[in-house]
Amino acid sequence: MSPKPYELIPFPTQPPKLERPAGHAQFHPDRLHGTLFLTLTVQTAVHISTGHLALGSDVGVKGIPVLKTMTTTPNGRLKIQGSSLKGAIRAMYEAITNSTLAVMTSRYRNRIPPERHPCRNKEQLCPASRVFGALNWQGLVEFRDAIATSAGSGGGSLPPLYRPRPDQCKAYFQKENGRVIGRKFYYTHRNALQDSSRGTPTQQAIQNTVFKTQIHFKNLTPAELGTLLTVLGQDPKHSMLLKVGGGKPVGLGSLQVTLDKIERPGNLKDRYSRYDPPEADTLEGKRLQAFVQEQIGAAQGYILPEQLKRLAAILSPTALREPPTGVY
Amino acid sequence: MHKRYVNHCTLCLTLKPDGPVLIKAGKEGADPTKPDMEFVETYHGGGRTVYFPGSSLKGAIRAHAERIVRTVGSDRRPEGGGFKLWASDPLDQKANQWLEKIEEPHQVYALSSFTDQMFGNTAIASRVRIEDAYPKPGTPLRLEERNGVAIDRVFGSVAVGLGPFSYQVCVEGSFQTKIHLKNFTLAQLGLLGLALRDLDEGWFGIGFAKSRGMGTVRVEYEWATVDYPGCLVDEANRQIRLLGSPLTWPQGSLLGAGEFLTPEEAGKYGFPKPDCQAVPVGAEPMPLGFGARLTWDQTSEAKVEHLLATAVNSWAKLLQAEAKAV
Repeated sequence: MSPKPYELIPFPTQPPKLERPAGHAQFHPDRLHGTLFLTLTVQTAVHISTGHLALGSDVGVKGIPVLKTMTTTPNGRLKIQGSSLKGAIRAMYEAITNSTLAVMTSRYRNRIPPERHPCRNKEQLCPASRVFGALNWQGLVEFRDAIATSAGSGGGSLPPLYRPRPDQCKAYFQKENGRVIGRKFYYTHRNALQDSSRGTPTQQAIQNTVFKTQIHFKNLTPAELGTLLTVLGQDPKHSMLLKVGGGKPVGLGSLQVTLDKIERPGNLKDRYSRYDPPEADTLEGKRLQAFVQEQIGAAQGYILPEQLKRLAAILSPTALREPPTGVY
Repeated sequence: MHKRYVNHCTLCLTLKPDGPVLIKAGKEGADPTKPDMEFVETYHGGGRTVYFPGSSLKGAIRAHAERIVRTVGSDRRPEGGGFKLWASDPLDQKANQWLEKIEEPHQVYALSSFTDQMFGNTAIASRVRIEDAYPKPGTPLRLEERNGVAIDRVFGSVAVGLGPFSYQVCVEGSFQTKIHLKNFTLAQLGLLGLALRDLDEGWFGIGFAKSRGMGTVRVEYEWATVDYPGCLVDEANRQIRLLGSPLTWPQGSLLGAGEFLTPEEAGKYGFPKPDCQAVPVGAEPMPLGFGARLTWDQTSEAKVEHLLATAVNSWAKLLQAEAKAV
């Protein structure tokens, strides 16, 4: 049997520190607000299913009669839904901060440490819930859909994959008490496997497809923004790829994030005292680098170093693995 | 001040989804071909259609207007009452119980927060009225179905009980609506203008899943009118004249509510006086020859943005006065 294409990042031993969230009632003068402009470059083919089937000819993919589609704009450009990006980024943010699980399967509720259950009290939220939201509580970051810069897509054949089987696999649980160990992350791979004989025909964003997106943020502390930037792979000491969509075990779904610029509103009092707003402060080049470094510096002590090290090793853009073939 | 009618502004605008938008119907319908989460629908223009309810728009616009006020002003009642720029918490049902016991309507108004004066609270009615936004005839609507799924963080599989779920989104179309503001001060119109500017720039959205790429709309103005129902247009002297009063203003005047009242009455409500800005639009008689109306139109030089920018000048004056008072 081949080794597993994933690793579990253990939960920290300390319970998460719950605090009151900043909320949306006002733009706090001592917090950070603005927009991150991102370019996402496909490293290994990405497929995020819409759940619908279509004729290949209808979505511009030649040679495949019927395939599973991806979301597109009305003019036919591929789209990565904001919800897919948010989920992937939040999962990483949760892993490297001392946070609860945002999503869990109720069947395994008893086997998840109680302090990792999703936050329910909106006055007392864990670090990730304060930034990304919790039940009945809106988060401070907003993801836009990422849209491909050019039209067209490729076809591929997703190898057959099976559901995780926690009921049969003991590796998810601690030996001593039977509780779950931590969060699962799939490795980044050198290439995406395709299986034309048995696989499912899929519409894919092929290698080097470029997507553009934005993340709006408000009322973040420097440590929170620094953590978000680290998750986006902007810390040179811990560069990481994003893994999104289907086929993660067999190498699909790696995205390289480039931060193009950050727009921060000029003085908010000025912005709200005239109809034509003052120009936003656009951080690019060296100023952008300095700003990013400053926020990442502020996140020291906020990010769990051991968890970050392990996550960066799994999602490394340089130490890529070969996707597993056969049984794993 | 709802007992008299001194001025009224109507903004006609079009909202265009800039990406997917969903305003969810509360309950799942019986149609099995529809997704789990449906867009709200109503009968309009001879058939069933999706729409943006006025309440959904008002909630989002009010919340952002309050956010602006709290950012430049305060989030709590000031001591002494000299400070005007503050916004209360509209979800605190008990906050205004003491106001409900006050019998003098002008006091209820004067003691309410800046945003409550515009949008209302449990003691006073709103001066802002937002109509439902219906699809504009002749512009095609594009609806599609999306699917979502929550991924379990431990096993990496679909979280049982949390999906997959499907939802309907509107990705293209034009929804037309009107916003009415009556007995307003120019600063109030200015704040509304700032909130709509931010809506257009994507600073806030409407409907479901705003943090996941949905809900942003572009705002396009069609026209705006400002009416003074109790006035006459005196063409000979190029003036607007208040009926039964010696008060007159030049024909191109944007007038806040305080202008029409005696200094004493305006003071009771806390309406600023003077509250007047010169505009390049001349008043014309309203239909039936009674009342005065100023019109801004995107097809002319006087665009709706000019009206809002002028009102924002009055808002900025209020900001400066508040800054001095602190």
